[in-house]
Amino acid sequence: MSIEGPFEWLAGGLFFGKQQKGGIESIDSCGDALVLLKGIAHSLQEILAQPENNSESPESPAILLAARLRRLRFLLYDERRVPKETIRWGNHSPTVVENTLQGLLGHEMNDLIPTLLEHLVVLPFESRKDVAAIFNYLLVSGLDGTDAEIYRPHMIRFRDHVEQHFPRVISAILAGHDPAVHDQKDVCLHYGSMYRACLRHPVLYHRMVGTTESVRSYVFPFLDTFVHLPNFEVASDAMETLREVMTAGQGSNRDPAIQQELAEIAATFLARDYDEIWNQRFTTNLLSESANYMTRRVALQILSTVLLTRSNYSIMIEFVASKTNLILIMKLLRDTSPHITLDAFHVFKVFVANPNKPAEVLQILRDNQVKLATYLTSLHQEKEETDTQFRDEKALIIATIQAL
Amino acid sequence: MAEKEGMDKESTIAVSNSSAFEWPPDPSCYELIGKIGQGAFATVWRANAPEERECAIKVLNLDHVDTNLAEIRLEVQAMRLSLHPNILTCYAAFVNETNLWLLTPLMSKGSSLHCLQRARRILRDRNEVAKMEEHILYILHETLLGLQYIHENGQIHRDIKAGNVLLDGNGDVRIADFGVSGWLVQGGAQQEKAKTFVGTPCWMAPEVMEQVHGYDYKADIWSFGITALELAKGYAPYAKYPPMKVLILTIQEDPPSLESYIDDDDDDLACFEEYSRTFRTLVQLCLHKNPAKRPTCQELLNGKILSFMNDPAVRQIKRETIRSQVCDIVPDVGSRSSSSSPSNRQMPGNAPISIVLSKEVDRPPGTTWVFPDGSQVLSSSMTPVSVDDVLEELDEFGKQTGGEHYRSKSAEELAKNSGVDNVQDDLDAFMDEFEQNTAGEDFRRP
Repeated sequence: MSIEGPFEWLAGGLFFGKQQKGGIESIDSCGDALVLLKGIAHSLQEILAQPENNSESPESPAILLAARLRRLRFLLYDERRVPKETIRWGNHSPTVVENTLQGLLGHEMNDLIPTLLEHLVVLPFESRKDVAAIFNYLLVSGLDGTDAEIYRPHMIRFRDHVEQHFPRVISAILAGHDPAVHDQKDVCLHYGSMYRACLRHPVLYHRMVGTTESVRSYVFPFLDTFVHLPNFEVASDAMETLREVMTAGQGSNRDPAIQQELAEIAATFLARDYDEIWNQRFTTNLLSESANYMTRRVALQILSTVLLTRSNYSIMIEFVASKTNLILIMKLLRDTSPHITLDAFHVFKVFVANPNKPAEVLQILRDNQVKLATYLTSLHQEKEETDTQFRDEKALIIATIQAL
Repeated sequence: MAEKEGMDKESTIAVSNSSAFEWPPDPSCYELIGKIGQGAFATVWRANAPEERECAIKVLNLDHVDTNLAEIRLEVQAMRLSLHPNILTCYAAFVNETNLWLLTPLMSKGSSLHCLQRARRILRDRNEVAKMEEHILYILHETLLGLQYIHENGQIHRDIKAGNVLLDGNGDVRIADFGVSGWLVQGGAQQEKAKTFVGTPCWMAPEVMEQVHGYDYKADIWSFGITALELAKGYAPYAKYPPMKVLILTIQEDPPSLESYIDDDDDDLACFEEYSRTFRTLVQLCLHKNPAKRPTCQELLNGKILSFMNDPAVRQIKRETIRSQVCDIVPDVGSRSSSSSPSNRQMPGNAPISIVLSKEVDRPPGTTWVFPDGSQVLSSSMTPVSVDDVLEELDEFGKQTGGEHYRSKSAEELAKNSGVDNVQDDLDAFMDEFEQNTAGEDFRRP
């Protein structure tokens, strides 16, 4: 059998060409998502009942589960490979997605998704990827791509399913990030990607940040712990999650209506919990010298994105009215890293441009008037040739400082 | 060190990748012994780790990584999410000052290219005949297994070349450097084709250069074909030309083959070696200009030429052969005694197409902000202090390479140098189109 097209690699060597024995062979040729799901649920139960069974026999639950999950993932992704003409003529109905949802939402296997998420760490290495890929696919399939509309109703059903199990899903994701729970770094990355997939839906985003209590439970673990973990891949993934939580995943949703809804949710929680987020955590832990280079650099980018987003006006006003914040940003303006100084400039300019500067902010700027003008003149001069907006902004900021 | 018998345990259905040893995310636990390699933004060291373990450490200056560090994050994640005997995995990664330390298994013979070239030279000096085809086929087969895994995971490597295919002393082969690898599937969202312009010109598939229809995993198959030629001849077909010329030749000429090499080179160690017809066929299959006509990894592995190595016993014999005939005669990289750096000859077309880095800013000395509470802040408090010679050396290296970039030659200059008059019009047309397609963007490589 040969398949052509961009999804061929997903078919890969696991399913075609190779003749395999016994149960796996029948899984390889199974085209029915419902049958696969039942098999997955069955194998998972067996694994959970006997977690110590590390048998490498081709009939062991772990290997059967792995084959079924890979097969289901392949079927789901492959379904989207249909030629565009078929879609245009309206002949295409995504039966794999339909069958998968029928299984997952039905009475019998309603528990499967939360259970898989809760036990990701006991699954085979490759199966963890497959679970995350299937979860993410079902959750965002109706958002991107020219054929997104076909998948949107199914996506909404899955989103509602996730919402129905939200407490279990979010607990699994947070526990999965916690180094005290397990030491499998790859698992953290899968949980991170699932958390971010949830963030793309206003309903689920609201569940995470809708109340101060939820922010404390579902966002602060990232701010307080996960971004500070010593392992780069885990910490940088947590930073990415934090970026999407705080900036409402700016730019990742193509639908402007959804994007706006997300931005409003973001603005609400960033302002409501201002003190706990910004004063108690962000500026003190992420931007201070105690944080490592990567954390400071990404945090500064998040800060400048948040402040320069229109819907976050009140947050910006509050931020640039603070003397402490100004001092912090001026320190960063003098950092040894050109990346940090550039991003610091984009925050600093808001302090200067603010028409209603509090007296203490004004005082600092006045006290350093000459030095600031000299320093800013030399700052990133090389960028002025290519970036006219930067050049103009810099000239304006210097002029404003000199006129204080 | 004991022979690695973990091949089967490490297979794709491995139940867990947990190992008893946790590599500490702390630089003071490692002793850097010698340089293995040096790139534009990174140095790779051979290092001693706790409990008499060895590893390779890539020290990468994050200050030289542009934009939002997303590429480097994805590179490390790609390694962390790979578990395959032919992929270089990641033991640990952590930030130290402005550097990222990336710990990987030590591949003691360095790149396959370096290793084969060293072996050829050694054999020549002994007046022995170097027959490398068998070894090359073994390396290619192992590389394909790794590449197949990458593709199955929805990734394109985008920088397959012999320099990124590493060899260990026992004959193990692993693909390294996910530095430019792209994800076709990410966060559940489906990208049909990638559109970023990255890679190293000599190994780039025509569709990657053309930037018209985008490209998919078949681009790696082209690079794989070039890698085969590179291993056979010691360098990639157009490596002697400047990057722009490489792009033009790749797009306009027939696909390269063993015949594309002009064997007048003074120290072309490989030029007298004969290669079989099957080897030529393999190259030809991969170097189809139409990506749809190139085989998949799966098809190559099950095809007539390589399928005999799918038998574990045959594979084991081939591994033993390369170990005894090549690995054993070539010194380890980065050991205390060997000062030699990889003998990858710097040819114009070998230079990665890269971004123009922001230059270091000269700061006015001694500015101190004054704050009302009397506190003064000096930026010097943030200046990293070199603790030992090694770190000093790193700084020095950073300075030397900081802001390094390769500027492509202008169209006129290129046309002047090429000395081919009859294709002049085509050249001009191509250059126009090329500039339109890239819309004046800087070429980039993270």
